[in-house]
Amino acid sequence: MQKDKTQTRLRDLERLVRSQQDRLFALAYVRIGNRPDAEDILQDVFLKLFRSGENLRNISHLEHYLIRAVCNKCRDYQRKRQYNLIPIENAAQISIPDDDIPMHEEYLRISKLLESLPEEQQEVVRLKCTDGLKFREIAKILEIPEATAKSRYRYAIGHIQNRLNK
Amino acid sequence: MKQNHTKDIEKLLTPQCEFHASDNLVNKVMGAAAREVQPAKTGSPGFRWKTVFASAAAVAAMVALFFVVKPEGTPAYAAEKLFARAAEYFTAVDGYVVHFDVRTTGHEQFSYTNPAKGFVGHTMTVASDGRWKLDKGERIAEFDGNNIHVWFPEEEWGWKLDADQTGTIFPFDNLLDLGGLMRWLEQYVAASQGADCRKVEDDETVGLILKVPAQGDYGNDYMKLSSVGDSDTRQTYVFSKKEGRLLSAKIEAKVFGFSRTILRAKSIDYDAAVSESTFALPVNVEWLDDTKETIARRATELPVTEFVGIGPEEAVDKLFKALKEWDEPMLKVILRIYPLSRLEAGGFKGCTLLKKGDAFQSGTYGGVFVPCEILLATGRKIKTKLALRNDNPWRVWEVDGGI
Repeated sequence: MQKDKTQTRLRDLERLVRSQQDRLFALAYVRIGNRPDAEDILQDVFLKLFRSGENLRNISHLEHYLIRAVCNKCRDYQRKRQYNLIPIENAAQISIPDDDIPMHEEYLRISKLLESLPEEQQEVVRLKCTDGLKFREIAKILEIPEATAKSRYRYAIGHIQNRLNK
Repeated sequence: MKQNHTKDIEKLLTPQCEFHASDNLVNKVMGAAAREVQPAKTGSPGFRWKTVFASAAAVAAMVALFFVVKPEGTPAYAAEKLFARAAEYFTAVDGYVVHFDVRTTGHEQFSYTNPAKGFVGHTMTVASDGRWKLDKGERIAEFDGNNIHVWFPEEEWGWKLDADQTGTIFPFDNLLDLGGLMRWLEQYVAASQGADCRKVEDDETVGLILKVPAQGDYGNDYMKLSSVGDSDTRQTYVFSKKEGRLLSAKIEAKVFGFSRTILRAKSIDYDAAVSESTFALPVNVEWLDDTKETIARRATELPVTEFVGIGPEEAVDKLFKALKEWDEPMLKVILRIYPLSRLEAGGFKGCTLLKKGDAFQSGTYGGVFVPCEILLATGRKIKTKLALRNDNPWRVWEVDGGI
């Protein structure tokens, strides 16, 4: 009986991973810019959910949880990375597999546009433009009022526009 | 008008390509999840794989990837047998020459690696009579049958060491006995829970890929990635199927998740004819005698007790006091491995310690680091982390690097 339950749960997890992996991978990649670490983050998030005993069938219910968990993990990763030895400009020299070059160029391009914004504005912009979320969803994920999400977005767009106009 | 600009900026901020996770991500997640629900002592491997790779497509993918998700036991066993054959081969080889590249600098100690640097060519020559030479251009080490000499050709100075001080070329002392290295790898794979291992093969060769985590404590990560042992590495060894001969080796370090090759063996010339001139010592080199006999004699002649029973920061204070006053007996203790004449020429005579930080440890290094800001006699300011250690028989603090 327990064995059947475990196998069912593993099948549910597999279904969830297959349906969400590309979307969550994009979410992680545009934040950290490398495939192995982005996939490690996804693996950690899926395993944590699996361990939690949460019902894995209600995918729409889990979407926001997964997005928030990936965003938090990426933030932790960035914090750790800034204490690493190798300067980021050197890391950029490290070779990227050919198949990942278009993705990596997009990561560099978007990161450059966002680099002068405060962290909380960057997060709203990424969730809106990269992840295609509505302000209502962004507010729920970041646990802030919807009006705050909108104002952060407005400030961010205004700031980028000013920079581009200079 | 403003609305149009907003849309343009939104378009700029939207990725213009698709993002796809790797094909094997789902297998990795499912493999890890299955291990978590599988009780270690009661489950059978068959159940695990049947559960995880339920579909035919998944099973095919698993075979193609040669057990990327390691089923305990099987690859480690394969590794043991293969290394054993290679080790056997090396017992019959006379001399050999290994050409390899390391991402490092030519002058630094042989163990130093830096993924951001270019490759520096190394040649290790091992003669059938036990003599050897390791050459990376700016730093050369050689055993002539009696002593080891390490020297810097451009600076025309070096050390004379005892025959057993092969640690000076660590980790490449492993290359002095390739058979022994293979036996060590065999034991490592058999014993290590941390070594993830997989096998790839074609008609003529077999490759083994080991994942070896960094070996030190990185509460302070100053030393992370500074050597093979201080890096999370993937080590690839390729053998000939026929005789188990090592054909090539490659070590990649994980840098921000990227794989960066830090060491690559270019060629291994078995039964190489090694000419006698290979081991001729250079003339016009100032040798610093650092043999154990000389060190022991100095311990009775020099004020070594001044640097015993104190902390590293106090040792640094005494070092700079001695530099200021150019107290040679004191300097010969704590700067044992440095030629004083060259330090004098470099502006260290009369220099001043401007700032000193707290000592810290990092990675696999056995000593400590003390951050220092120094004003040289030439007027130049330098910031460095002095490496100090006292793991010698007299427990004397000595500077080991950073100057």
